[in-house]
Amino acid sequence: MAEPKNNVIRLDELDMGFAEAVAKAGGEKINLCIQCGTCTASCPSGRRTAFRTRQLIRRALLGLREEVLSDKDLWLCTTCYACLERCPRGVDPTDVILALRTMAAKAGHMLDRHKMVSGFVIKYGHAVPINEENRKLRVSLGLSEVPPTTHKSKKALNEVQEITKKTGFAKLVCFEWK
Amino acid sequence: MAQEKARVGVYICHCGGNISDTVDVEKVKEAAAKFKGVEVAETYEYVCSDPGQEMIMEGIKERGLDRIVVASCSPRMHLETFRQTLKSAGLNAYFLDMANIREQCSWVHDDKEAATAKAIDLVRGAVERARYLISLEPKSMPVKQDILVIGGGIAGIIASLELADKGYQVYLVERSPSIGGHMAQLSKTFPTLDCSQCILTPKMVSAGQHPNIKIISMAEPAAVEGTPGNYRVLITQRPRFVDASKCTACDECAKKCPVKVPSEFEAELMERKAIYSPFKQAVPRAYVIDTEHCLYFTKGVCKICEKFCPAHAVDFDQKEKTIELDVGAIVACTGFEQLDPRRLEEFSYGLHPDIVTNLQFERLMLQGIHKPSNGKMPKKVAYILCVGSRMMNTDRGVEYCCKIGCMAAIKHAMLFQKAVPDAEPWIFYTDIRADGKGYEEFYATAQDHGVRFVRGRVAEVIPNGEKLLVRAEDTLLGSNIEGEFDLVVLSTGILPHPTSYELARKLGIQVGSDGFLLERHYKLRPVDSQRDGVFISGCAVSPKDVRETTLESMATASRVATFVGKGEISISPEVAYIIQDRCNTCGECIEACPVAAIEKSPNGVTVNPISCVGCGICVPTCPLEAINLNHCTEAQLMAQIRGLCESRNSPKIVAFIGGDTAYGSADLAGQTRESYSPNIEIIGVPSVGRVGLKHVLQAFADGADGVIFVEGDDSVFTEEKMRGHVIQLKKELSKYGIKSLRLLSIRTTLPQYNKILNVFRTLNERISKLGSVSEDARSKIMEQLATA
Repeated sequence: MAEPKNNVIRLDELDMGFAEAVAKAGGEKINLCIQCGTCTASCPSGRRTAFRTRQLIRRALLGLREEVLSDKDLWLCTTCYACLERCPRGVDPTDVILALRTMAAKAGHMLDRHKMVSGFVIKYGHAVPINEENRKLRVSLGLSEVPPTTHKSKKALNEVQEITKKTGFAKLVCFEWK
Repeated sequence: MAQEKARVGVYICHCGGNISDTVDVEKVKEAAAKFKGVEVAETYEYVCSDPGQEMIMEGIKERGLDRIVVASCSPRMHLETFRQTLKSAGLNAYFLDMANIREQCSWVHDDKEAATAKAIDLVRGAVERARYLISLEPKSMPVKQDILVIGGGIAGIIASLELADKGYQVYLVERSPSIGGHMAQLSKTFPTLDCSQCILTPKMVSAGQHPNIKIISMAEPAAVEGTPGNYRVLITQRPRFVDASKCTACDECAKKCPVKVPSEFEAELMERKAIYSPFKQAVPRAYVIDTEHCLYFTKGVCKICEKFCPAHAVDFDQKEKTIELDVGAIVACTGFEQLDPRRLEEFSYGLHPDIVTNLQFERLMLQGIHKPSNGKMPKKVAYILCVGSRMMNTDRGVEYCCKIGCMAAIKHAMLFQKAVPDAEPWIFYTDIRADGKGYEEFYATAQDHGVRFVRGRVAEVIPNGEKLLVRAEDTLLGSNIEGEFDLVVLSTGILPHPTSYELARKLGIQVGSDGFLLERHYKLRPVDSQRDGVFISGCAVSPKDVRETTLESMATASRVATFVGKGEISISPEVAYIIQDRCNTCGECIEACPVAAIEKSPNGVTVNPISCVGCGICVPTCPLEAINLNHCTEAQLMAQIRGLCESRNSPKIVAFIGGDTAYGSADLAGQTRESYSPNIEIIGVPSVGRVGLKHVLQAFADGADGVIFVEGDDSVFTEEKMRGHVIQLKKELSKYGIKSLRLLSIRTTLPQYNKILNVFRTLNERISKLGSVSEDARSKIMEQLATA
């Protein structure tokens, strides 16, 4: 988790509309949080990483916009929904995180690895494209070497690519067309 | 008949900005001054204040006003206040009408211009109606002096003792075999650490021996009839199968009984027999047979208890009894139950015997602290707060705070420390709430004694062999924290007792959206129910601890004594009456009356004013207009509709809201500052059954584009009757060229104001598609009304 730039949080430097924006972007119930910590203590990712759900929500509620959106830990949530199941306030923390990710992506804070996987979707139509090993495995099981998906159909792949262009997805993930 | 000479005074309240910030009261005043019959129109900061009321009195005395309209808050708030004002000035109290421009106008609208226009409409309606008001005098009847208290927990015991000491005869009805309630199960009480039994038992004995208290155990009210001050209650008493006058509680029967059952009193941590006394200090002391488990009742064999009872008290021939009580007032204190923690599976309750509720921990302390799994002494105990409380996802928990969890956990930790030398109590909390007398000091003492506090709500409890793994976040440090415990104690949420909803229905009182019994006014009438002569107390109203329950029950006893002590109750003159020279005794009204208040005799048809509830359902059913309702007469209602619709602010929707519950619900929308479209204008009626075709047609003729009926769910105008009424109206309306879609109806309970907001929205959307009613159609209706 990024350290605050200085020791004092100045109220006039906060983005007072940020919590509302998060609510609108899908984290509807964020304001009901009472900082009980159920989310953090339920989080399997947080047990192994620096990801702290409660603190993320606190920062968002306070209006520390840049700090929240640029935080690389934001991308450590596995969306397992344990916090959402248990949150007593119905905050649905996973939805808050997804909303924050949407906002972060739009602000250009998407991690390179996520951009790379997104690139695969555009390039191959698959987040996990087929590799040599899987080709061999398919043949050994009596299947066609390549599955009947975008891997086989150039037309289908073109359609996928067209969609990613028209929806702005390709641009969002900074995909470079060759 | 038109009161051409009526001299109306209109007093418009600012309500210190509550109204005047949204409604331009000066504009309303200017408009009102021009209404027919208005002699005086004034505004004032607070019309309900002494100087405000003096203004009205001065108007009556000095300027000869004989009809008063107050445009202010809801009549539910201040109708009685202003009726007194009129009386003080020597004017009949029924010469008053109120325009609700706060709860149903300024609080639900933002657009100042539209809100002002609506306020003017509401005032015009009230002035028109006021011109037709007739003087009425309430009658009075004696109030019965006996009192029924339902529920024998600490709330019911205190209320009964207080009332009995004041000299009233009290019937204390308890559902279970003994009085005492949950308090009898507690070890010590916070923050003084008094032994619970030691302070409760003397009260139970006093109640049992008091010459003015009759305890009726194993009993519940089956039906409630009558009116405030004169209730007749039918009590069903289940048989004990033990003659209470013979039983000496020697326990011989239980010793011989072969059937073991988990003991309710021991929170299922120990067993009792099928013939048993719930606990040693039970009142009444007599044993009882549990027919669900007794071998004689389940298999038809045994009766060993009967054989061995030295007093010959066992009596298998006892039958269920019905007891009839005539009482002046009823107190409902049905208490609470705890939320089943199985609803929150992450706490693993039920999966390991050493995960218990805080009530079970009370019993463990009294039994000698041990782990239920193996009887060994626990060393590390985790107290987990807010299990099922403060939860916004209501399928898993309840929204409100349990109020006792923090202090009970601190008490438990300290008692545990006293009992076990190397005890290690850990309290996992969300917020420590220590806002009672001596509570913060109690918290500090626990800190000082080394009770460990972790600020974090527990995420999960994982059984691991003999141990229990507890995981939380120490939110003050931002670190996850976990450890293994010997015993886990869950502070579970508090729910109203499951019988309270049904009881509320029988008593004709309301429950709130949280399921607890609803008070008449949150701040000022906190122990009165919505119905006169029915009072409430204790955890049936909201979660609370013993001290607060005692305080509340003493307050309730005082309110009951005030009500009963007056000796008489005034009967509303707002009842139906027959216009004898028009009546042909056809009996339609007798059919329609939901409370059998109309009778036919050789002298004609008459209305019994004591039985009549003033709903007015009978009025539209009379083919000859030979029955009318005092204070909501045909002339008054038609005048109000005309006045309200005259402005032709289009599109206009008139909402007839029937009865106190529905009207209160619409007020509640205002109190919670919801908003709806200002083209919706409300007319309060005793019941929508009072509103007939004539009135709906008048509304459409005068400028309405839609009509809404809202009725309370508790109304005497049943859902079925209402449906029939509305279907009939829709049919008739289409004959007059009004689409049936323009009439909508719903039923609601007090807290469900969202239903009202929804129906407002729905009809508005419809009207915007359908457009306004054409002027042509309006004038046609007008013609037909005039010829009819």
